[in-house]
Amino acid sequence: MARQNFIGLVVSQGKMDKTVKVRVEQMAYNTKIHKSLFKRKNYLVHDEGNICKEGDIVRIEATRPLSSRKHFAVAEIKKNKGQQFAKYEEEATLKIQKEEREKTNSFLQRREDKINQKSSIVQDLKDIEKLCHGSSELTAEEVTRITQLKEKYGVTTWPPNKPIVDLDIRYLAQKITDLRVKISRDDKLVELFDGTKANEEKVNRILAKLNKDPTSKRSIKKNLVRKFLSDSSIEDKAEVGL
Amino acid sequence: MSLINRLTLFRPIMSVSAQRMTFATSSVAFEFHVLSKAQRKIRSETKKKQNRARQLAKLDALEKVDPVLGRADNPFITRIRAEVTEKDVLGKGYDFEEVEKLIYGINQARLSKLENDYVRSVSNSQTETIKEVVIRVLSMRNSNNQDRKNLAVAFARKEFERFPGDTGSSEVQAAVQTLKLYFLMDHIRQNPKDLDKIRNARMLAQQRQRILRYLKRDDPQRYFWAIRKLGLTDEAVHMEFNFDKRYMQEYEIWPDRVLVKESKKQIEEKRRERRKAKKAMRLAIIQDGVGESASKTV
Repeated sequence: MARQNFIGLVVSQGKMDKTVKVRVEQMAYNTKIHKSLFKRKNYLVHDEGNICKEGDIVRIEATRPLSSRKHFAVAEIKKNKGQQFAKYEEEATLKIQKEEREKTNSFLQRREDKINQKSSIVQDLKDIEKLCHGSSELTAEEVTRITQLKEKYGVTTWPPNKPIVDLDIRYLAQKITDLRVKISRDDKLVELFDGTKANEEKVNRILAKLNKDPTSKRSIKKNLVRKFLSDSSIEDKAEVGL
Repeated sequence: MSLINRLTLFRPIMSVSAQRMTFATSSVAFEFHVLSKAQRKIRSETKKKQNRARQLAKLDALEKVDPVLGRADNPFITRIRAEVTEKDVLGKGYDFEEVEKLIYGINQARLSKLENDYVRSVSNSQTETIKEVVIRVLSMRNSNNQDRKNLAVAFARKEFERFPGDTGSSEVQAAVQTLKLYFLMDHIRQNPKDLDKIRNARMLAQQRQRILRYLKRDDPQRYFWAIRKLGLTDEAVHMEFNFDKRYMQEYEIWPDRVLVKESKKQIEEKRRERRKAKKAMRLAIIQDGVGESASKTV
C-alpha cells in the first residue's frame, strides 16, 4: 500500500528538536449536512536536519512511529517561504546594525563640526568687510587669509556689486516673476483671440510662420499660438507684429 | 550519593530481567544493571525537572518586545530625538543658516543707504541683538510639541523613503505612525485620564500592524528591514493587540497604578510557579556542573 502523503504548512518550529508541527487542510464530506467542509489537522512531523521554518509548505510522508505522536517525516519542501523570511530577518539585523552605527557616527560628527566651526559664509563676509574698511586690529596672517577669501567669493569692492550668497527666500521671488510672465502671456493670448480683424491677421501670420493650417479648429490654433508665445524669441515675435 | 552512582542513573536500561550483565562491542564496553523502584523515581523526577529548566530557559531566551514602542533602546528613535533637540534647530521649517544670512543681508541693505563708521558700529550691534531675539523666538526649544513632532516625522520620512519626496510607501507610513505613537505615549503617560488619546493610540498601533502585514506580503525583504529599524518583531506585528489594561500593566505605562487585580488564587499559583522554576534552574546548574566535572575526569 502506498504511504500516506499530505501537503501542509509548517506552523510551529524550534520548540522540539528535529520536530515541526505541520497543518494539513483537507475537504471532508459531512454526512449530516451533506456538504464538504474544510478539515484541519496538525501533525507532528520528523525533520532530521532542523531545516524547516515556520511558513514553509512541505510534503509529509508516513513512516514507522517515531514517538507517541510522531509518525510522519518531511519528504520535500515545496515552498521555502519561511526559510527565506528567516534569511531576510538575519540579513536585516546585520544591515541595520551597520547602518545605525554609520548614521549615529555621522550625526555626532556633524554636531562636533558645528561646535568647532570657525568659518561660515556670514563670518567670511564679516571678515572681508573688516578688511575692506581698513580695520587696524587685523594681523598679517589674517589679512592673507581674508584676501584668499576675497578671491574665493570674487569680491573686489565693498559693498560687492553682485549677489554672493543664494538665499532660499529668492525662490519665492523667482516664483512670483515667473507667474507675472505667465499672466502677461495669457493676457496677450486672450487679446489675440478677441475676434477683431487686426488680431485675426496676426494669428494667421503666426500660423503661416509655423507652417500650420489656418483653417484648423479654434482650440488647436490657440494652443499653437500659446506655444509660439512662450517658446519663440523676441525677433520672431517682432516679425509677426507683436 | 557518590558521583559514580549519580552517573549510572543516566544510563539507558535495555533489559529489566537481567540482574547485571556486560557486553562488549569492538571498542567500548557497556555495563547495565536494574534500578530499584526508588532509584527509578528519583531518576524520572530529575529528568522532569531538567526538562522544565530547559523549557524555562527557552522562554527566557524569547525576546519580550513592546508591541507599541518596540525595543527599549532603539538607536533610530534615540537619534531622531537627539536631532530634534539639537541646539540650532528652528521650528516651523526655518533653517538656522538661512535666517543668519537673511539678517546679515538686512543689515547690509540698511548700511548701503547710510554709511559711516559710527552708523556701522551701531547697526552691527543692533543686528546682533535682532539675530539673538529672532533665533530665540524661532528656536525649537521654545516651540510647541506639534512642531517637534512634525520635524521628527520629517526626519523619519527621509530615512525610510524609497525615492526623494516619497510620502506614501508602506514603510514610510509605518515609520510616521511609529513616531506619532512615541509622542502619543508621552502624552498618555502624563495624562492617564485622556481616554480619547488612548483610543487614538490603539487605532494607530493597529493600523500600523495592518500596513506592515501588507508590506510583508508585498516585499518581505523591505518588511524585515523596516521592522528591525523600528524595533518591532514579526510577532508584535502579527499578534492580536487591543491596547488593553493588561498590556498597560505589563509594560508599566503608569508604574504606580494597579490596573488588573489578580485573585488570591492566581497570585498563589504564580508564586508557586516561580518557586518551581527557581528550583529547576538551580538543579540544572548543579547537573551541568556535575556533567562537566565528570567529562573532565574521563
